[in-house]
Amino acid sequence: MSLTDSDLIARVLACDDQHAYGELVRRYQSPVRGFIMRLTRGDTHLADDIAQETFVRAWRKLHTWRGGSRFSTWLFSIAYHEFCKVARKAAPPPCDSSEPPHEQEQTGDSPDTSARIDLPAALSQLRPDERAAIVLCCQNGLSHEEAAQVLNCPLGTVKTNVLRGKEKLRKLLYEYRDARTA
Amino acid sequence: MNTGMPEPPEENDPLETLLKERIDYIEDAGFTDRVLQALPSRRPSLARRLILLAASAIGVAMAVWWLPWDQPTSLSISGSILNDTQQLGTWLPVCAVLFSLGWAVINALSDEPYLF
Repeated sequence: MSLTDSDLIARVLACDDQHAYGELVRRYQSPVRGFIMRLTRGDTHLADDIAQETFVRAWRKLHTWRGGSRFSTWLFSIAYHEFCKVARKAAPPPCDSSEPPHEQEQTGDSPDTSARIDLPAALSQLRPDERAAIVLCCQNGLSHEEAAQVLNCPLGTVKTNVLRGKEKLRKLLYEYRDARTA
Repeated sequence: MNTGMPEPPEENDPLETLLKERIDYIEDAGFTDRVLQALPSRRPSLARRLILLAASAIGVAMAVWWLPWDQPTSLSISGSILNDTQQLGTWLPVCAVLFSLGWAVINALSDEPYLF
């Protein structure tokens, strides 16, 4: 039987069990790296650096996790904080062009497949707070309340960002489709 | 109220479906090992504790050395301490030293450095 997150955290806190922490990292590396990769618009190296710093910081601060929220929610909030720190230091990356993704990715695809290919490009067009809200709520299954906790903003702001982000995504996906068929 | 439950998806929303389909699992590919290698010790090293305590001790010794012990009246507390420049000049360094000593001891004994 696999141990719960709380069991593993208790082991880490009791005896600095790195194997237990390794199990936690293995469980959550994919959603955390995926979340940051979306925020960094697909920059895998930067995303992995931020993700690594996230897990190192979580290790240092593990004693502050109270169990009132899911461990993943707590990790996402650290990850978002680390991303904001990096984003503040660095100049904002140039906005992606609103052109649809490269033609060679689309040849012979059905409309559904094309939309799947377009989605990362469309997501990268959103504002960071809209993108973060969409990725947390629609892709990682967080509630609006949990997302508000992660993003450290009011619940209403998250709901607005999700709605506005979805509207923008729909519009962008239609534009990409129209550009392709024209 | 935070139920911890995800928001119910809008029915027949192709965008919701598309967003959920696009969650690709990212292979670990050595990521966990890199994290584990980068983990610092959760407990401060003995050397750090000793250096902080020694520095505090030296600081206190120097402060004691410089205090005007031959003028005990300047170290007395009176009601007009804030108006008495000489007393203020004596007590400010004493307070600073006590504060520094407390900060150093807390840092030496705690797991996380306390910064201002």
